[in-house]
Formats: sequence, structure tokens, C-alpha cells
Amino acid sequence: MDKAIVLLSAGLDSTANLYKAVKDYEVIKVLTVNYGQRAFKKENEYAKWHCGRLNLSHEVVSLEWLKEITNTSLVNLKMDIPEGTSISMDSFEQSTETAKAVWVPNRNGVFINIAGSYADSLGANTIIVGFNKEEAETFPDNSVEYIESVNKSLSYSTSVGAQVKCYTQHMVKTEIAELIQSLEVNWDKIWPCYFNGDQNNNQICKSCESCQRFLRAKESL
Amino acid sequence: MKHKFLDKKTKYTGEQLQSLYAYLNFEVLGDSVISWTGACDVSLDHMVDGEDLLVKAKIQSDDMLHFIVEKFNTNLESMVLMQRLLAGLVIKEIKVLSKTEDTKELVRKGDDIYCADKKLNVSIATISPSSALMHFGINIGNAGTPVPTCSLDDFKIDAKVFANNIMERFTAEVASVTRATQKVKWVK
Repeated sequence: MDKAIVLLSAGLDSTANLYKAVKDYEVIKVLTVNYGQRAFKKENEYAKWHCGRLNLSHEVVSLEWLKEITNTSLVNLKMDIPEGTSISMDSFEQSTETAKAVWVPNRNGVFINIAGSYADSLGANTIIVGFNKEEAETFPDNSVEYIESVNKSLSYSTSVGAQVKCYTQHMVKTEIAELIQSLEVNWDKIWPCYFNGDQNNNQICKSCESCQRFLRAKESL
Repeated sequence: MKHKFLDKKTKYTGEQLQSLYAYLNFEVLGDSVISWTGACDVSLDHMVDGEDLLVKAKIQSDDMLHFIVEKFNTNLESMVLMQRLLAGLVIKEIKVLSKTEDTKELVRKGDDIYCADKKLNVSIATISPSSALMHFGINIGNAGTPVPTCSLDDFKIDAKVFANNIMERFTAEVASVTRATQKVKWVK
């Protein structure tokens, strides 16, 4: 069985990919990245829970520098995360604007290359990520084209020729929700929210764009 | 409902299926589920299933994952339903953790689980004056069983990880059932 590294934030997409990956690979390390995001505490708590359930090795990678240079609202507490009616999930223009508000500079590029280092060091030839078709429209670093590009790069930069794989890259969130359901993942152990639950009795806010997409997908079942 | 995994390997003989076993031996007070691994060999003296007694059945395995559930203020019928709930959770968790394709053939028949007609478990529910009780044993391997069996080893699943997942899911379901009984208005 091939070995894999999984990048896990415990959101809908990465969690679905983790549960798919354990069927096909020997998952030797699961990485959760702390780049100062507001939701880190919850993401880490839930990621650890899934790794405990699946008996996997989990590690947090801290990127203090990425926190320092990120000015947008996912990290910067002085900025407001778009919420409620300021979000229109089906409007490309508006979603592009809200995407800018939560953009973290080269986030997926950095994460994948960190995972590439782990893969190279630990002898894993696959890196599993959680992307989706729906958000790839506004986040170009979620797209199929991006995966193809970064795979070409990794074929040069890793001695093992590590390659990124994503089970959900062609799926919209409603399809991923069906996948989550079929994989028997606990819905209450998924943290899609941009916030950490402190203001919301430890619950997701249901108001940020990520929560709205998550709830729309879950309620479609 | 509290839960605890016991690291010491212990043979299940049927004697453990008694009121306050978890409390008196492991200080787990109240509604509980405890789990451990070890052989299974239930003598006729400790067999509580009348059907098994009539045919002098053998309940044996060289290595099993055992669960004992105790719930107070309930009846035997509720415990039988919990047995079937637990069996359903076991099937679901095997499907999550297994790396093999065989899991498609897992089915529950009453409180028993089969994979391609091979038996995975033994189980019994009973009642004491103060509580209802259940033993649920899952084969870790297939040695020493009197019938064709399947096991956690066949599915490449670690028994301790599996036990903790099952206990967490089961106690969450029981808590959810309790909540469901406490949030409804009475009707005429």
C-alpha cells in the first residue's frame, strides 16, 4: 500500500479526503497548519479527534511568519470576516469579493510544499488535500489546474516524486456532503467555520461563507 | 453513561455479566460500558441464554474484544434494543476503519453480525434487580471458535482503537436517546 501525507483542517473537504485516503493509502502523517487563523483551536481539536478515531499520527505545523504577513480577516482580528447577507454564494462577483477578504497569501502553495517536505522525508509519494469544484471558481489555488501545476513542481522538488491527490476536486459541496455521509463521518466533528466558536457557545457561526456553504450542502441530504 | 477501556487481558467466562461489575472492580459507577480483550469461554453455569442452554452451546474464542454494558432504571426490552443499536454501530465503525472490500457483506441479523455467513460476534442481554446488562463480544481472531467466524483481524482493525471508538459512539447515542425523552411535551 502506498504511503500518504494528509493536510487536514477538519472542514468538510479535507475531512472527506482523510476518510477516503485511509481506505487507499497507509496514511503516515496528518498535518494541521496553524497560521494564526481564528479557527485554529477548533480545527486542531477536531483534527486530533479524527486522527484518534482512525489511529493516525497527527502533527501541528506552526507558521508564525504567515500570521505576521497576513492582513486579511481570516487572521487579522482588526478586519471583519464577511457574514450574513453580505454573502451571495451563487454570485461570482460577490464571491470573488468575499474570497479576497479571507485570502491568505500563497496558503495552499505553502501547505502543499510543507507536506511535500514531510512526504520526501518519510517516503510518502502522495499528498492528500481537500479542494472542491465550487470554491475553485473563486479560489484559484483550489483548482484542478493548480493541482496539475504543483504536481509538476513537486516532481522536481521532491526526491520521491510526491504528487497531490484530491478525491473531491471535481465535486461541489453537496456531493461532498453525500460522500461524508457514506463514509460515516460524524457531522458534529466537522469544523467549517472561519471563527473559533468562542462567541457562539462553541458552535459554528452559521453566518460566514464557509458555514453557509457547509449548511447548504448538509441540508441538501 | 461512562466508558472505560481496561488494558489487562482477561478471559470472559460469563461471570462478569453481573450487576455492579464495572463499579466494584473498576470504580465505574452508574450507567457504564467497559471493554477489554481476552479469550471467551462461557460455561453452562454462567450461560443466560435459554436457547443456548437447551442445546448446550459452546461460546468460545481464543481472543475477543468484550463489552459489558450496564444501565440502571431500564428494562430488558430496552437493553435488547441497545444490543441491536450497538451491533449497528459496530458495522458502521468497521466500514470506516477497514481497508478491505469485504465490509460490503456485513449484515446484522438480530443481535448477531455476519460477513458472508461468517459470524463476527456473540451477544446476550439480561436483567438484574437493579439494572439491565449486556455482553457483546467481537472476534479479534478466528482461532478457537466453534463455528465459521470473521474477525477484526480480517478487517485489519486494531481492537483497542475500535473499542474506544465504539464506546464513544454508543455513549453518545445513549445520551442522545435520553435527550430525546426529555425534550418532548406529553400528549393526551
